[in-house]
Amino acid sequence: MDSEGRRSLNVAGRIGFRSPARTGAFQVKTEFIKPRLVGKRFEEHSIPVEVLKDWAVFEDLIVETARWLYKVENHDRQRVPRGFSEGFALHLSAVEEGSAVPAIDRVHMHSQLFPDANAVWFDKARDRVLQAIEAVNKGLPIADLLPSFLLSYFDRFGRSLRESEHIEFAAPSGLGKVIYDIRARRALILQGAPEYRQEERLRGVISEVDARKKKLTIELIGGQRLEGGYLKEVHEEASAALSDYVQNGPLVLIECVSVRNKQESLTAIESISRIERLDPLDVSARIEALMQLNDGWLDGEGHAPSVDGLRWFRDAWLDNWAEDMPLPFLYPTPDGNLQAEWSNDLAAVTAEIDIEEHSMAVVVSQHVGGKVLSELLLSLDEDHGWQTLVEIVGDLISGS
Amino acid sequence: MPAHLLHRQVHPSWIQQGRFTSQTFAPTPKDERLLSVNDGKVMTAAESFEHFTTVLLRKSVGVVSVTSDEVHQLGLTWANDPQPYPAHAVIDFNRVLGKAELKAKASALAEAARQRGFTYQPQQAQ
Repeated sequence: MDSEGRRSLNVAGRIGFRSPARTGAFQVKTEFIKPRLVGKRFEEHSIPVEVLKDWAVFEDLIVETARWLYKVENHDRQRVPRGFSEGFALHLSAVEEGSAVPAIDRVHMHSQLFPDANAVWFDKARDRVLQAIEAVNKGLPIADLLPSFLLSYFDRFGRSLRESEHIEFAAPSGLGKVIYDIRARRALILQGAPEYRQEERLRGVISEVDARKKKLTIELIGGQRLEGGYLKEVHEEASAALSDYVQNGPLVLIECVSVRNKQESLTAIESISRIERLDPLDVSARIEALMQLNDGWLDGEGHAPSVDGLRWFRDAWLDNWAEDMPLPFLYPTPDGNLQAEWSNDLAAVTAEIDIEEHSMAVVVSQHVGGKVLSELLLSLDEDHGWQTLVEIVGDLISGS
Repeated sequence: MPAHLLHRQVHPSWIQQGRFTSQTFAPTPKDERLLSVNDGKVMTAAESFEHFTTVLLRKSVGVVSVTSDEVHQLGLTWANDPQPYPAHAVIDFNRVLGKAELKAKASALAEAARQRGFTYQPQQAQ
C-alpha cells in the first residue's frame, strides 16, 4: 500500500515501497501464495500482462473475504478494526521455474511494538477461498464457505483463462492441489448469479455500427446476432468493417467480454476491445461454420464432422501452417471428414483429411486430361507431414 | 453450334467464398461411379435448378455445367438415363482406376465448370 492508500501490483517484480516507517517499523514481505499457471501461454515461465490484472482482483477478493470472516467471527463488532486492510498488499516478486509460478508476497509493516494482528485474517481468507474452489470442483455445496456477494469476484478473477489453462494452488489441508480453471470459475460464479463473464474471441460479420452510442451489431458465424458496446479505440476498425458490408461482409474477429448463462448460451457481449479483419478463408472461422453441420447435412445423407475432430484440425492447423502460405478452401466430405483444395490455372492440390486418424491423402493433378501428378498419404501428427504439405502447396503456387 | 451442356447442382455446404468444391463432380460410393447430371438439351440450367429444388426437394445454391466435349477429353463417357426423369443422365467413372484418379477427374471437371461460371443462380444467391 502506498502513502495515498492505494494497493499496487508490482508487475516489474521489484518490491516498491513508498511509505517510510514512522514507529520504528519496517516493511517486510512474506510469501502469501505461490500459484502455478499451467497452459501454453505460460510455458516459457512468463506471464502475459493481460493475466496479471487478475491478481489485483484476487487481492480484492482476499481483502473482502478477510473482512467478512472477521465480522462472522466477531458478532459483536459491526466494523473491522481501523486500518484492517491497510497493512495488506500483494506483490508479484518473482516468476519461478515450472510453467509460470508467480511468487505473490504479502507486503506489510513489521514492528516489535505493534505486531501484525490482522495477518491471520488474510491467511484465513486465502484458505477459505481455496476451500471454496476445492469444494466446487468436488461438486460440494459452498454456501457455508463463501457468501454469494463474494462469489462475484470470481467473475473478474480468471476472466482471461483459456480452455486448456488452469491455475494450481497448494491445498490448505496440505494434501494435493486445488485447480482453478474455466469450469471451476463458471461453477463458482453461477452459484451466486445467473450468468458469468469471460474474455472471448468471436468471429462474424459486423452489420450495424452506432457511432454515438459506441455500439455495434455482429452476426456470428453460428447465425446469432448480438449487439455490444465497443471501446472508442476500435471505432475506426468497426466503421471500416461495416463500410464493406454488402451481403456477406468481411469476416472479423472481435475480442470482447462475453456474457453466458447457466446453459452456456451466449446472451450478450460487452467491452469490445479489438476488431481484426480476417482473411476470407480464415481456417478458424471456417471450422466454426462447419461445426454447425448436423448429420444428414447432404440432403438427408452425410455425416457431420465431429466437433472434437474439427477442434483438433483447427489447433493443428494454427500450430503448423505458416502465415505466408495460401489458405485452402475447406469443405466437408459426406463421410464426416474435410477436403482442403488449392488450385491454379493448370493444376490442383486436393487433400482429404481424416480428422479422427489425423492423416491426409493428397492428390496433385493437372486439369488437362485430369491426370494424377502425385499422390501421398501424410500423417498430420508429425512435423514431416505438414512440411511436405507446405512444399506441395508451395510448388503449386510457384508453378513448379 | 452451342455447346452441349451437362448440369450439376452445388450444395450450400459445398461452396466457400463463391468457389465450389471439386466434390460437386465426384460420384459418392452410393452412386456406384455414375455421377447424375441433367442433359442441357432436355432441360436448361434454370429448369434444372427448379426441378432439383421443388420436385426433388433438395438444396442447391445454383447450377454449374460442363460440356460433353470436356467430359470426353478426360477419358470419361456420359449417357442419357431417362428412367428417373427425362433430363436425367450420368457421367460414367467406371473406367477410372483408383481414388486418386477419380479425384483428379472430378477436379478437372470442376475447374472447367468454374471457368464457365454458374450457368444459373437464383436471384438471392447472386
